[in-house]
Amino acid sequence: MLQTCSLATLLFIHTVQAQVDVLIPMDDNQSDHLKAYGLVYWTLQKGEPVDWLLNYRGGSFLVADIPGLRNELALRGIAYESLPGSNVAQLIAEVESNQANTALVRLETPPRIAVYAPEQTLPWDDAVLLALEYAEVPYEMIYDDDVLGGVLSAYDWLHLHHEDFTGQYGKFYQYRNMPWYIEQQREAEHAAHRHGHQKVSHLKLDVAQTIKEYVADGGFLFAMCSGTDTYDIALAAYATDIVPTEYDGDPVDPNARKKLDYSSTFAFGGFFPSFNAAEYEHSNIDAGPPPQELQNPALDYFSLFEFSAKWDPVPTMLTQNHVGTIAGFVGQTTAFRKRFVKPEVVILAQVPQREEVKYLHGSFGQGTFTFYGGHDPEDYQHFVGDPPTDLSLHPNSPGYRLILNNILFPAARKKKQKT
Amino acid sequence: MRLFLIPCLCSLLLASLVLAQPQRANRTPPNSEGELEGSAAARYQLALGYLRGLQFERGISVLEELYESHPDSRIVFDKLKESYVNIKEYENAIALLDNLIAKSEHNQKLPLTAERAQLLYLNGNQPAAMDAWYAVVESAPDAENAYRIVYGSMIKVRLLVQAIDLLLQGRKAVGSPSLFQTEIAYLYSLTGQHELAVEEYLNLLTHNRRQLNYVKGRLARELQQEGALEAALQVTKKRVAAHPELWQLRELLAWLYEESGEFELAYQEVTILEAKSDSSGQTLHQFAVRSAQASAFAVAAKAFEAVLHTHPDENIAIEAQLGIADMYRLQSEQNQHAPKKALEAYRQFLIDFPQHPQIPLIMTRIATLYQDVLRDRKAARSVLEQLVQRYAHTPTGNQAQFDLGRLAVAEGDLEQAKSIFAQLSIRTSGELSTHSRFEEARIYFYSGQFLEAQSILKDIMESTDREVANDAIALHVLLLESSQQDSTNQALQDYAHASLFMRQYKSQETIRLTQDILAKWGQHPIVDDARFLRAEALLMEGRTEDAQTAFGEFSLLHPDSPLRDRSLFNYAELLETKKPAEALEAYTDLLTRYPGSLLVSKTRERIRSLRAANL
Repeated sequence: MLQTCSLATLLFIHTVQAQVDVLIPMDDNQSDHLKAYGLVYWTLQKGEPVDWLLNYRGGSFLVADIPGLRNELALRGIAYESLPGSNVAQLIAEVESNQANTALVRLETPPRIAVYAPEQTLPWDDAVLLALEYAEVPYEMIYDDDVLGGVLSAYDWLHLHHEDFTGQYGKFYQYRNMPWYIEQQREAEHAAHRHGHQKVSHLKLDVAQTIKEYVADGGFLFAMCSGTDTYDIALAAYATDIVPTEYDGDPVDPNARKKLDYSSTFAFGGFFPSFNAAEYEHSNIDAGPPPQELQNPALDYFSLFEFSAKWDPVPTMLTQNHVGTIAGFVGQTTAFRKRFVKPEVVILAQVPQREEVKYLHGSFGQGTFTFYGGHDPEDYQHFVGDPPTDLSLHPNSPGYRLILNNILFPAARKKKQKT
Repeated sequence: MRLFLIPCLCSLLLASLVLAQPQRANRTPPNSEGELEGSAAARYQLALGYLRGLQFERGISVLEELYESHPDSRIVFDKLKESYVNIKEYENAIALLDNLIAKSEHNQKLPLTAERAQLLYLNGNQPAAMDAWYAVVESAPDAENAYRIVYGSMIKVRLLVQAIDLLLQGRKAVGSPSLFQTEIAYLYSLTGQHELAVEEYLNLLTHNRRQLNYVKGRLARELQQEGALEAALQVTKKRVAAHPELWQLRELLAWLYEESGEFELAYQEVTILEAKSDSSGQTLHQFAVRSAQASAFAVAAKAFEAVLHTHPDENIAIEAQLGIADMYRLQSEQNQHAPKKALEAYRQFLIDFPQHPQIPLIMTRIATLYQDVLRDRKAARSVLEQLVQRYAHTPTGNQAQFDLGRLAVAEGDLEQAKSIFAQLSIRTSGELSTHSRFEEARIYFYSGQFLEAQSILKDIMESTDREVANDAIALHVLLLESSQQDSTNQALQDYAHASLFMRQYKSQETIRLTQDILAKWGQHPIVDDARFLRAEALLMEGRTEDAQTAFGEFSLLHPDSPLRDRSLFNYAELLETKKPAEALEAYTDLLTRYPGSLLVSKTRERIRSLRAANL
């Protein structure tokens, strides 16, 4: 699926083309890291491949100098360098050299992106939507009706909104009289009835299982905040009722804990859901905010692991960044307790000194899933009703880069060949 | 309110509560524990212990034994039923209820049967549940209470649509069209049927005017749902048309218009209400204030005028008169007649209410209108001098003094201006002091005393927290670059004169002098500033096409000037109206040629906006 091109092939391609290429550096010299991802997407849309130079200057991109490219670079405010053909060959040789932990991955197809989110406007933002909008990457919004209607196969990459797949409306019980909550509940109940379910939790389980089939068939799933743990909780609880009366009108199954099936989940096992309707927590997977004395954006951070670019290109792509440590941020699900992370899952980033995982990746069937804890990488604590983050103030955000690494990673797939 | 922080303590307390008493959806009224005595009470406590330890089977087993031996004990009955429900053994709970129903009086049967129906629903048998619920109301079809009991039971399991049907049926059966209005309105709102919800609220209001605040309170929250406000407006408009005599409906309509930002329409309703009310203009005045707060200045002005017209002898007329003047002033940018109207209104106010506490503020506003909007220096001077005289050494007097200094600059009396600013910079503190100091530096600049100007500018530049620091830096750089080119500094002196002309709105003189500079001092570093100033003067003169050409050729003539990006931006801006495609090209050119410009983000905004217009 992924191809790390051989040095000879690439040298040949670039020699034959004998043109000036454009290097988009992704180290500290980059003026707008986030927009650079959008530019790469734009180039792929034009049918031009892009070379992702893993671990080279923060994961830089090498692009052919196609018509209009420089205008787009200027318009988006992206720093770039012109490279004559001979320098390109030298650069590729350097990146492909065994001396350095660098590699080249060719990106070929712009992934078709779907964001799973309701049409209703909810009083909080979604970091992925903000990132896609800011980077100018096109996407489509889908929701329960679409997922159950079978549209997932039309997309390469699916992002889960801050959804509550357990059917407890995000456990925002304290907001139950707010118009947005009433609307959200009403829409969810209508959708459940439309699809023949008496309860919203059953509808959400149906959706979660459909998404699971999508991943098994080769889809790429990315989830953040409560879209991560609630997804696995819902899958584990398929045979029981973990939803308190306040949300679905009947009590929790007294044997719910015993009936959880961890073999059906993606990333987590051994956890227990929270059965308290008023507790703003879905399970013990979430490590929660850091201790009080560390609840400071200056002290709270997490570290990215380094992988072998040549042997582990996928985790390497997902962790491309211009910094090794990233400022932490809190969410309904902030980080994952390490003891609940399945052993086969790859940990991409961890909170130092604490057994907490911030960012993880794994495979299921033909596809993959990536979970990222926290709500908004540039808003340490995002509250209900807070205005969305203005990413033009954070064009070099390392936390947002991790999100955008994900959308490019499916682009490393080969194009379908004509038969 | 926190979104992502967990209220730990509350959570722990609630968690323990939930574990101890899992869920109590179907609880009948509790009885005292005193019914059980001796070993029975002890066994009951044992059962509770088992349940708290989540040993449901053992707990239920003890309770079943107790129920067998004490079939009349409500406390055992309630706990056993609750335990069955908690472990989802609905059939056992129903059987238990059936026993009690069989033994109960008719009036006690109603809530028990409704509860039984709820358990049937939770057990997955909706048809049987519906039959059971309807059996309750059919047993007492005229009893309002029966419908309320079933309604309460249905909404516990969120059968909202069915609850509406039931209450509508009840209304008909009892023969009271106004029955269950608030309940039905609430249910319609919950189910997103906003028009029907508003109909119910209007029915309520039709029969009881005093409910207006209650209805507004309920609607205020519900209107935040998508489509609710539009629906409310539509329904209320129709109702008002059908019943124009019901003032409470019109009041609600006016409020809805305000909520939707349609102040003109709200004004029409408010004037009708005012005419029929005995509020002495208060209703209209309060509306005017609300409109002004929402920036609906034109409507607010009309409302203030109406107050003045209808209640000229009331105290409220004073506020209205001032309001009118303020509203015209605030419309100055949109309406060319507004400044004069504002001035007339302020002057009339001064004549009518010479002792009003707002007089200093009003006089300041009059002076500003004369000086900066109407450019009537003589009138401005007269007002400012009065202010200085009356309010010496107060913030109002100091600001008037500063404005007199600006006036002196505009009139060309630089010595007078310098003296005013020098005094102010010593006598006052904060922004006004720094601003005065900067004005002093500018006067030295206009007078050709560049060293003196530099000296003051250096001081200001150190106060980076002051608003004028950036302006001071810009002038300082200009002086550094352009002085010392020759012993006379003639080119710089000419440029300083041209700048003064520009400040005095003498665009023709500015154009003439800058052209002279360009002709005489072709190689001088000031030439690019002079050319830029000329372009600005052309624009002030209304010679848009000439200004466009001047800005357009600027970067070709001065490829190294720090003003080249600004010039290109101005050029593109002027092209936007008539030649948007060329404007787009110019903006793109700016991004490519000057990627480090401070105007880059503004330029990107303009490009996106033009692109959005399909260019």
